[in-house]
Amino acid sequence: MNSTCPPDEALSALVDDALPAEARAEVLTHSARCPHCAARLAEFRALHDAFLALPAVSLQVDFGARVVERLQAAAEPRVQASRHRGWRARLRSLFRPLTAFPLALSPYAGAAAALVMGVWLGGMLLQVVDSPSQPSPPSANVTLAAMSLFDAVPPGNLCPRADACGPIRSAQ
Amino acid sequence: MSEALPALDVDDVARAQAGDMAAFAALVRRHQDRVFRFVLRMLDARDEATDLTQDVFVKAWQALPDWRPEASFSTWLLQIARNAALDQLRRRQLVQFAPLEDGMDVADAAPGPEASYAGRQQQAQLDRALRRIAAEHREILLLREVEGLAYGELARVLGIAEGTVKSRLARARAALLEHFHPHAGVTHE
Repeated sequence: MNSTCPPDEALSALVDDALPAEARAEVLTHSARCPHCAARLAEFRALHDAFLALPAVSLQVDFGARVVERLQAAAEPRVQASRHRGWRARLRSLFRPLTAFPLALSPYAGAAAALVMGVWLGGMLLQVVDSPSQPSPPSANVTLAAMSLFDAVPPGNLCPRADACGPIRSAQ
Repeated sequence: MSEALPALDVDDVARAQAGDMAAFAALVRRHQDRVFRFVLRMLDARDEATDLTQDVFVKAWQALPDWRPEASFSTWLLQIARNAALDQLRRRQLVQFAPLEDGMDVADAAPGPEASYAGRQQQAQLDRALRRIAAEHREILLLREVEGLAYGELARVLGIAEGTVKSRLARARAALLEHFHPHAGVTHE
């Protein structure tokens, strides 16, 4: 083999008829006067012929029916499962989005409950005082029962002066 | 493959894509031997190749919506078969070069009575030599020499450039010739 010899790649492509016409002619001309390349080309061609001589391999079985059976068997459980679901299961499936993530929903439910409890307890602290003699805005008649704890006079004690006690007591 | 087959394939694939299993069964029947032949020579185990051939068609059914008529159905199937065979070889940890037992011949290698003894010997030796070369060389040789794929199809199936196809084929042939002498039908050890 010398530096002018075509590489295996060119000889291999020649066997496959995958060389452009010009390159093909060059390789063939070279191989005609180079025993090494001629031998290599002959080997590649003989290899190609040996592959062609390999016996045919056949399954002798109808795989069409087998594969279709397999596909149907794989699809059957899903179809049956949906067909045999009772009305309870179907109903449950409607609410599944709500019940599927109980842990994710619990903080929101807790926050909502705390808010409701807060409003309810806050409402219990409010006292409405009727004063029919003096018309006043409704907000003036509302006071917080809890605030009486902070009066200057503790509940049950006598007022030292008339104006010492809150407006409610003085009105009374 | 005749010119009528791809047109028949396109028609059957269109029907199969619409859910017609009978059309898909027809496709399987038409291509089962080709897929089996390739897988069998890649794996060199008949039972394994039989199971894998079925798997290839199941995978093809699942991937059928992705198939486009630009690619030949047969080439597309061989691509699925090639990937499945390589996965199987990886599972067997044989994807790296690993010579198999010499005694393991391809089950269907027995030729008809008309074949000469020398011819039978050469076929058996070619099968043996194929088992001795790397999987990437074996697959490209089988796809080119046995299945007759063009360079462009080889590039698509193997996911490589056409230039790489040319060089890999040359290397694969050189590697096979290390173990197989086609003239004398003897192996070089």
